[in-house]
This record gives sequence, structure tokens and C-alpha cells, in this order.
Amino acid sequence: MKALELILMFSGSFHVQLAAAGLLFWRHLKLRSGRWAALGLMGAYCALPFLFQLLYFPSAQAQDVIPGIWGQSYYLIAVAFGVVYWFCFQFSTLQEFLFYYIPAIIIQHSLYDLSSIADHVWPALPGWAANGLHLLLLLLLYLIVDILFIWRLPKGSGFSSIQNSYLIPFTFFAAFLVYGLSVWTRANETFTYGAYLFDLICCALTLVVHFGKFTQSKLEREKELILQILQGEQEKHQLSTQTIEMINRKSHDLKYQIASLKNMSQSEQLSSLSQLENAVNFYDNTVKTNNETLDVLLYERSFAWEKYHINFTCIADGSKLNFMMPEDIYSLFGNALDNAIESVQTIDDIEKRVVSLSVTAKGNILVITVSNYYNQDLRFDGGFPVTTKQDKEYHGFGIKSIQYIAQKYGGTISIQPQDGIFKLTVMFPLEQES
Amino acid sequence: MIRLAIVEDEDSNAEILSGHIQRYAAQTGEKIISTRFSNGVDFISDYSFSFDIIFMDIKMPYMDGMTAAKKLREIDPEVALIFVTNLKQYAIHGYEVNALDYIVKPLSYYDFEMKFVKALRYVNEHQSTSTFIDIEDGKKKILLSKLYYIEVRGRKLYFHTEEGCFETRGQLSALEEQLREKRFIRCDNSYLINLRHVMEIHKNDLLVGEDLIPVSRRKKAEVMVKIAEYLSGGIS
Repeated sequence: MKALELILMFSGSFHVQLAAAGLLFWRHLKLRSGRWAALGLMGAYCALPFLFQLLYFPSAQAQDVIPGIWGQSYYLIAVAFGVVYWFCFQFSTLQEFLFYYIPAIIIQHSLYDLSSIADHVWPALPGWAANGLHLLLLLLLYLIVDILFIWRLPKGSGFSSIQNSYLIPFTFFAAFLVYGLSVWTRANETFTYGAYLFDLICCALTLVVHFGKFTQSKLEREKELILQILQGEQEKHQLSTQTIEMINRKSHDLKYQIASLKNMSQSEQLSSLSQLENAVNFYDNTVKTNNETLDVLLYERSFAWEKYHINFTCIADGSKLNFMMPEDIYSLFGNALDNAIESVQTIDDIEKRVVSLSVTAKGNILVITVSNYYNQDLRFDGGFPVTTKQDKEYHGFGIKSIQYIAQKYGGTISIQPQDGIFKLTVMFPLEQES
Repeated sequence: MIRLAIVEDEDSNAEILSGHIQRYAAQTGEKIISTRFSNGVDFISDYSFSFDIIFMDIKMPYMDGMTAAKKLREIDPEVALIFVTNLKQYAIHGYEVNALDYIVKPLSYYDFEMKFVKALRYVNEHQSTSTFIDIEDGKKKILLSKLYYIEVRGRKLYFHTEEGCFETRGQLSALEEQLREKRFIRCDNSYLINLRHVMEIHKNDLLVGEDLIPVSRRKKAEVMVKIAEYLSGGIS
């Protein structure tokens, strides 16, 4: 019985509950390199108060002393836990540390509210049973919090850093207030269910704000969409490389066919020649820019030029694109050209369907420009044209995709609609050769 | 007034091009004079820097357009050049001779117009405007196209040009207004740079002419966009 009592009392202690709340983030935290040292520290923190009691007050009942001395200094314990938490796990910034520390405090405090309410509903329970109930509440509450807030939290320190920089101070301040108020009411007012329920609700709301349950989803959805588009484009790119390879093989075959023509009879030659003519016309659509990915992309778009009767001209020094990953080249030019195609395909005057692409460099500066006529009333939102297509959410991502890639390589975008001609320019600094 | 050269061996194409030029001139009131050459050799042999824009065919007798363009660039690295051709495979490497763009046959008006407007803007950027400043022994004429940047130190202004550095008194802000149209921007409190001479972009500074000029954090985004805009009009 004594052992069970001890265990229950252990789990019911404030500082242990706090540690348990902190450990709810186990999936997101990395143990410090001295693994055993970290675990030892955590163990010491948990066990020390009891050892202290055993050494100095061996005769007294455990539940008298622990809550008595150690238990009253809530803030002290919270700070002690903070120190232990900091030394046990790796946090790259103070902000990241607070991102996990503050909710741990709040979660434990919610448990405290629930336990207090439970104690007043069943005031007659013996000590061990009360602790047992607290333990049950701990398991239940921590499980619910885990499901609602924690297990879907993205891993890695990157997550905590995208939060608004006012968030952490706000929740810290909120937690501080709620805590302080709770300590004050416990000391100065008689128990009311209302006060503890309000406290619990405050904790829940603070957690909701802290984990940004409502704001992150929109950003995440956008990010998912962009990644999906990028992936779709990667797949297309692979298919196209295969097509280009096939064509290269074909032209290789053609060379031999032409050579063998010399040994054919005239009638054989004629039919062979017309076959060759067709094959070669097809191949002529490809352009060589000294960058394979761009070549593939331009080859693909050549079908669009044909289909919509678009006059497309291109001056491109593809060798300057080698700093960019193929997927990004494919995506950047694909989106830029698709935007141009979309703009011109609805122009009635076919002669006006002109699209011009330029990829040139000056010094260490690479300049990519796509120019085309447009006839729609382009509306602008934050410097970028709002698509007029119905499926706005999906198509607006063409430009966002370009923006994402520009940012990735430290580039700059400039959009100039001028006198009926739309110019999209993306500029990149190239690596310096030292 | 704009002076054009049309280097084209086929009369029919030359006529179509002239037609488009006249149409543009009529629509906009721009005064344009064009001279025809039937091949690259004639064009190069008498070249005298008397043209603003050159339309060059690629497939020509005696000397093809690309070769003619290379020879042209040896003499004149800056004049606006537009190819007129169907040989896309060659034209795509137009950057080697600093071609602004090219027009494909059949020469439709709008294809011509888009590239011509680009060339006109390019010519405008490269007009040889100049300003005068007071230096120690009198006045000095500064060709804006050769001015890299202006630096302010105390109450003095330093004009860094291709021909050296000249010191004068004055206020940078007054000049800024005057020069803004001529593609000069303030990238930092102490520097007014010529976009035309931005050669390299680094994390916190730019190589303008031969010197590294810092860019203030506040202005960085704006400066980058202005550089992108400037370079989108053609690289000289």
C-alpha cells in the first residue's frame, strides 16, 4: 500500500505533472548530446523533493511536508522546471524554448483546475484515492491535449519561428496573468466552481491562440498546393525528357537514312525523302539554348504556339541557368510562359499574339524577361496580376510559384504593364567566381 | 528623330518592314528615317555611327547576318540591333552579339511593333545627354552615359566617371530630381548610381563601374526592382 501511495503522490505532485506536460512534446524535441546526463537531470529534478523530505523529515507523512514547503513556491518550481527543460533538450532560440515551455505550464495548470474541481465534487476521498483520481485526470487531459494540439504540430524548429513575433510574449503574458490570478484566488477567496471553470477556459483559449489553430491552416493549405503543383510539374518534366531523348534517337536514325538514300533507286528515294521531310519538320521545332531543361520546356510549349497561332521569339543564353535546379527552371519558365499564353490566346487579332522571351546576363546579373500583348483588364493585387480565370485559387499560384522560386535564389521580380504590353522580369545575382 | 538601317537582301521583306515603320511613324508622330542596305558587307564597310536602330537579316549573300553583327559589335558595341529572320536556331544566340530581339517572317505588324518599341526605349536610355558641373578651374561637361555614380561627402559631391573623378559643391537631392528620369537612383544616403553601370549584384552592395557601392537595407528591395526594370529593356 505504501508503495502505491508513494507512486500516486509522486504523480500528483505539481513539479512532476509539470515535467510530464513538458514531455508531451517528445516528438518535437531533441535530447541534448549528453543523453544520460539529460535524463539524470530530469530524474533528479523529479526525485529531489522527495529525497529532501525523506532525509530531513523522515517521520512526517509525505503529503504533509511536500505540499507544505516545496508545494507553495509555484513560481520557484516553474522556474526550476524551466531550467531543467532548457538543459535537457536542444533549443536553438529562446523563442523556440518558450514555444514549448509556456504551453507545458498552461497544460499542467489546466490539470490543476480539473483536479481542484474534482476535489470539491468528492471531498471525502482519502489521500491516495484523491491522488489516484488526479492521475486519471492527468492521463485523460494530457491525451486530449495531445490529440487536439500536439501530435499534428509540424516538426522542426522552423515551425515555431514562423509564428508572429508577438505571439510568444502574448501567451507568456496571458499565462502569467492566469497563473497569478489563480494563486491569488486560492489564497484569498473561497472556492467557487465558476472561478476554476473560467480558469480552465482561459487555459484552453490560450492554447488555441498559442498553437495558431486557425491561422496556420490557410498558409499550410497554400503551401500544400504549391508543392503539389511543383510535383506535378516535375512529373511532366520527366516525361518530356524522355520525349526529347526519343527525338534525339530519331534524328540519329535519320542521319543514317539520309546516307543510305544515295544507294537507292529514284522511286525509292522519292518516298524515302518525303518520309524524311516530315520527320525533320517535326524536329525543327526544338531549339537549343545550352540548357537542357529549358530546351525541353520550350519544346513542350511549341505545341501551344501552334495551337493558338502564337508568334514566339526567344533569345536565351541557357548556360547562365546552370545555378538553378531543373525543377525550378521548369517551373519558373513554365509558369511565366503559361501566363503569357493565357494572356494572348484570347486576343482576337491573331497577329497580336506575340510572345517574346529573353534570357541574358550582364556581369553577374541574370535577366529573364517575358513580354506579350494583353487585352484584358488586369487587376493587380500586391504587385501581382489577379487572374481572371474562374479557378482563381489554383491559377493565382502561377505567379506565386514564380515568386517562391525568385525568393529561393535571391532574385527580384518586376512587372511592368506598359501601353498594352505586359513585361515580367525576374533578375538573379549569379555566383561570383572568386 | 530616329535613324534606322535595314540590312536585308530580299526586296519584298525590306518593303514590308518599311511599311510597318511608316505605319508606326504615322500612328505616333515619331520622325523616322531609314536607309536600306542589300547585304552585310556594304553596311559594315561604310559604318559611321549614324544609326540608332539596325534591322538585320541573318540569311544574306556574301556575309551572313551573324557575322555582320559580330563585326558591327567590334566597332559599335551599343547600337540597338534587331534580327529579321526565320532561322530561330541562330537567332536564339542573339545574346552573343547583344541583339535586343528578333522578328520572324512573315513580318507581322505587331511582332514588329513590340520589338521596335523595345528598341526605341533602349535608344532613349542611351541618348547622350550631358550636364555641366562647376569644378576648380571652371566648368566640366559630364556625359551622363559615362557617369558611374555620384558620391556625397560632407558638402562636396564627387562625380565618378569613366574619365575619372570630379569634385564639386552642391546638394545631392537637387540632382536626384533631375537625374531620376535618366535612370539614376539613390541606393544609399551618400550615393546616386547610374543603373546603366551596375555590373554586379552582391548581398549588400553593387559593383557600379569599378567600385563597390553599398545599398542601404531600407532601399534594397526598391533598388533591385529598379535594376530589374532597367535591364528588362535590353542589356548594353
